[in-house]
Parts: sequence; structure tokens; C-alpha cells
Amino acid sequence: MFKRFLPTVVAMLVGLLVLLGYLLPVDFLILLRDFLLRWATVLAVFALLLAYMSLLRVHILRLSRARKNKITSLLVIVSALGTLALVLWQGAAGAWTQQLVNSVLVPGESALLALTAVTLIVAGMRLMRVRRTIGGVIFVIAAAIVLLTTVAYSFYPDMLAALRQGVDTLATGGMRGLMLGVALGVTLTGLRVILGFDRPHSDE
Amino acid sequence: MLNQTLMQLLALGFVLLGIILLSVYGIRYRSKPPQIRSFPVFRALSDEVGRVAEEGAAIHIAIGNGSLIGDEAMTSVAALQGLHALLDLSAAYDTPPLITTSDPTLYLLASDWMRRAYARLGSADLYRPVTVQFTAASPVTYAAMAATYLADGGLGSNIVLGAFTQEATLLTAAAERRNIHSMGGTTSPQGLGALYPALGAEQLVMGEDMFAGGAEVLQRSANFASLGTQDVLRWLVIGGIVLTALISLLGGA
Repeated sequence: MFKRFLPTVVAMLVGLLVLLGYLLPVDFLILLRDFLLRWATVLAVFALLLAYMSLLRVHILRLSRARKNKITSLLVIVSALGTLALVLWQGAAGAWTQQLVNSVLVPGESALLALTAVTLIVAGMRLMRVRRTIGGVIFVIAAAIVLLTTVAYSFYPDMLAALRQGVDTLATGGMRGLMLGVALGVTLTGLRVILGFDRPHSDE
Repeated sequence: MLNQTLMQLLALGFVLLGIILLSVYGIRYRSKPPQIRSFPVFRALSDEVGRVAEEGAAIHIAIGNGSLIGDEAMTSVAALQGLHALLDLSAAYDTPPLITTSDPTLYLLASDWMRRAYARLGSADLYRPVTVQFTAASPVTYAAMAATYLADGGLGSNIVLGAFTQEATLLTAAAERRNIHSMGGTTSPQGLGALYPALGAEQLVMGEDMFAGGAEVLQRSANFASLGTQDVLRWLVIGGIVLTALISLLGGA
């Protein structure tokens, strides 16, 4: 009973106080909201520590048991421990830490982001080959127009201005419609948690 | 300042109306569940357990990057609710999926959900912690790392459900290369743009449909009430937009 009700009461109370802190212009509630959010950040740091330990455990196990990709696991373990040692030694703002971020992490992520552009183009081409539905055709035409109006716009601004404005208007309208629906879903899921109808943190 | 206070009070009124409607619909739907639109993807999710078990493989579930202390928290909760039946069935057959995430708080919640799925059957000792994995802290590195799991083999289904942006395409591309069946959904336009070419409309949960997963899978009055309230509030928002547009049009004239 204690295990079931205490987390629910804490979640409801904290959720309600944070929500009121955003919705009511009362200084005390705003201070309380900021205090509770700082606590949430501290809890998130503990979660990060646990996740880090789990990452190491998974890859140590893979190193000892898996038949394939042992080198990947070894690299993950070495880089995770190496980065931790560096951050403990120099801090997050240290020269070597920043060097590591700027010369390994940022270029690596940029390369992966560039790869997503390639995989998206391949997926679009495959879509036309495998699923030639009306939705698919509209998607590919829309993607082609967006590409045309963003890449070629700097070369032919006069020619593409009207097309770009039309695409922007349609895209903005569509995105707003989508996001309004999502915002309503988020609000009501949050309200269900605050009211205790949903208990994601304990048994239903 | 006055404008901000007015907006805050309007938002408070909106929330209070939401609470009242949730309670009214909750009571109403307790005795008689409503007919809701079918969401085939959520129904198909639990079927994957049997299909994949026959192949002797496992399911990969990517639950995304939605931190529980961030804007995407409720998207992650809704995704987990949509996966509820799949997790229960996986625990019942003891064929646990491989669940990956890039957020530490979501990693803890997903671990807890999987452990509780086993505990509900009275076999919590069968739960293996490596079932849920935190693969990397950045979304794009996470997707790349999870894609290597798909490339390793041993997985027969790829479910991408939660908060994603364009990095989701790395997961679906890796699954395609291994002929692994993919399905899923997300709420962000960037994520949907990345998932649509790979999954098509039939295997994709788009935008607010993500929040209907709980109603489809759990069949609880609170989830049905949430959908009913969402419909009413949507019309209120539409009315508000039209009214504001009319006022600014008349004011401008």
C-alpha cells in the first residue's frame, strides 16, 4: 500500500504545485515551482549515473559474450571511461574536455546528421519504388518542392519567391494543426497523471 | 504584464475545464465505453510478439529521446502506454524485447515498466536488466548505436515509438537493410517526415494519435475520457482561432 500510494501522492502534489506555479502569478508558487524543478534536475543527474553504469554493464557483457562487434563495445567502454576520467580531472569546461568535444563529438554528430539526409533521400526513392500511393506521391512532390525552394532559392530568388511563400504557408498551417493536436494530447496526458488517473511510476 | 497575467488565467481556465470534462467523461465512460476510431498500429504491436517468437528472434523497441523532466515527457509516457500490451505479452512468453533510449530518466521508467510486467505475472526474478538499454546521450548517436544492434542480427521487428526527430531514419534504414519489419510513430513534424517514407501511413502513428494508444490498448475509462475531452477542447481552440482572426480582421478594417 505504502509502495503504491506514496509515489502517486508525491507525483500528484508536485505536478499540481508546478502547474499552479506556471498558471498563477503568485510569487510563493513561482519560487516553489523553481525549487521543485531544481530537485527534478538533481534526480535526473542520478538517473544519468545509473544509465551510465548500465551502459558500461551492457558493453562489458557484450564484450565477454557476444560473437560479433566486440570492437564496438570495447570502443564504447574505453571512450566512456576515458571521458569520465577527463571530466573528473579537468571539469566539463577544461581545455582537453573541450578539445574532445570539438574534435570528436561535434564532427561525429555532424557526420551522422549528414548521413540522415542521405538515408532520407534513399527512403524517399524507395517509397516511390515500393509504395506508389497518393500519399507517397504527394510526400515526394512536397519534399522536392521544399528542396527546390530552399537550395535553389539563393540562385533564383525572383522566380521561386511565390512558390516558396505558398509552400511556407501550407507547411506552417499543417505543422500548426499537428502541433495543436499534440499539445492537447500532452495536456490531457499530463492532467491524467496529476489527477492520479494514470500512474506511470507505480502499478496501474 | 497584464497581458501575461491574462494569458496565465486563460490557461488556468483551460486546464480547469479540462479537469471537469475529464471527470464527467470518466464517469460516463465507466459504465459504457465509447466507440473510438481504430488505431491498427497499436493493435498490431502485440501481434509482433507471436510473429517474432516464431522466427526465434526478438523485438527492438526504440522509445526515443523524450526526457521525463522535459517537454516530451508525456509523449514518452503515451508511447509506453501504447506498448503496454506488448510488454505484458513479452513477459508472459518470456521473450523480452530489446528496449533502447537516449534519455536516462526514460531508461529508468522503461526498466521499471518491463520489470513490473514480469512482477504482475509473479515472476519478477525472470526480468533481465539488460532488456532496457541506455545507448547514448545524444539523439543522433543513440539512433546510430541502436542501428548497430539491428545490424547485428537476432531481431525480427523494429518498433520506433516515442519522441524522435530526423534521427529515426537511421533506425528504419538499418532495419530495411536486414529486411526487418518496422512500425511506429512520433509527434514531431521532423520525425514524421523521417518515418513516413520508411513506414507509410499504415504502419505509422502520427501526431496526436500517439495519445490514443493508451485508450486502444488499455481500454480504460480514463483514457477514453481523455479522448472525449480532447475533442471538445479541440473545437474550443478552433473557435478561439476563428474568433481571434475575425477580431483582428475587423479591427484592421
